[in-house]
Amino acid sequence: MPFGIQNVTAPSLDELINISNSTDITVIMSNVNHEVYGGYLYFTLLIVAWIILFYAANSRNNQVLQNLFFSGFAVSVVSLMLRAIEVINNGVAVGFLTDKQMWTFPLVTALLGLVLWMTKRADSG
Amino acid sequence: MEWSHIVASFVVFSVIVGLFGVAYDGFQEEYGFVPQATNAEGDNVMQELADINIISGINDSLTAIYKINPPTGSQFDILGALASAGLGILKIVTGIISFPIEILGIITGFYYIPPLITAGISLIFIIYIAFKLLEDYRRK
Repeated sequence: MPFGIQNVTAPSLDELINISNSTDITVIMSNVNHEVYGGYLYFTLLIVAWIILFYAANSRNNQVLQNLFFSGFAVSVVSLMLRAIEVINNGVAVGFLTDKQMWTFPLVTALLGLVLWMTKRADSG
Repeated sequence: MEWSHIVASFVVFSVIVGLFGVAYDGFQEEYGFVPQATNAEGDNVMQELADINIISGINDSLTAIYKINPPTGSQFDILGALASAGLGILKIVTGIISFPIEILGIITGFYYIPPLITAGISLIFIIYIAFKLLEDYRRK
C-alpha cells in the first residue's frame, strides 16, 4: 500500500514545505495527515488510543472481551467526531478520516458486542 | 451458551450500528460534510444498514409505540399503531434469521472484500450453527 510520499521530487518537496503554510491549525493538521502520512495518521492514532485504553481498562479488571468492547465504543465516538472535521484545501474538502476508516471502529465494536453477548455464560445473567 | 444470548447479541449489534448511524446522520446535517459511505456499486451503506430487517423492525416497533403515546381520540390510530408494532416484531423475528447473511453482504461490499472470503465466513457461521444444533440434539 503506498503510504505518504514515495519519490522525493521537486513537487513533493514543495508540498512538504507548504504543510505549515497556513494560520489555521486544522489546515496544518490535515496537511500533515495527507502529505506525510498518506491519510492514515488519525486512523493509526485511534488504533493506538484503543490499545492504550484497552490495557488501562484491563489492568483494573481482567475481562478481555468486555474491555475491548467498551474501549472500542469510546474510540468509535472519537472517530465520529474526527470524521466530522473537514478542511477545504485548494477547493477540495478533505476529512481527518475517510468513511471507511471511521466505520471500522463502530463496526468492529458492534461485532465485539455480538461476540460478547453470544458467548455469555447461561448463569452470568 | 444459550440461544437467547445469540439473539440478544444480534439485537446488541443492531442497536450499536443504529446508534452510530443516527449519530453519523446528525453530524452530517450539522457539519455538512460530504458523505462517502458507499459500497462498490455506489449504494449508500448507511441506508443499507438501516434497511436490514432487524434494525428496521426495531425502528418500526418504536415508532408505533410512540404513536400510541399521544392519543388523538380515534381508536383507529391505536389499532394502526398496534398493527405496526406487530409487523415490526415480525420483521425482527425474520431479521434474526437473515441477519448474518445481510450484515456480511453489507460489510464485505463496503470494504471490497472478495466473494470467496464472504463465502468462507458464511461457511464458518453455518458449520457453527450446525454444531450448536447437534449439541442441543445430543443433550436431549
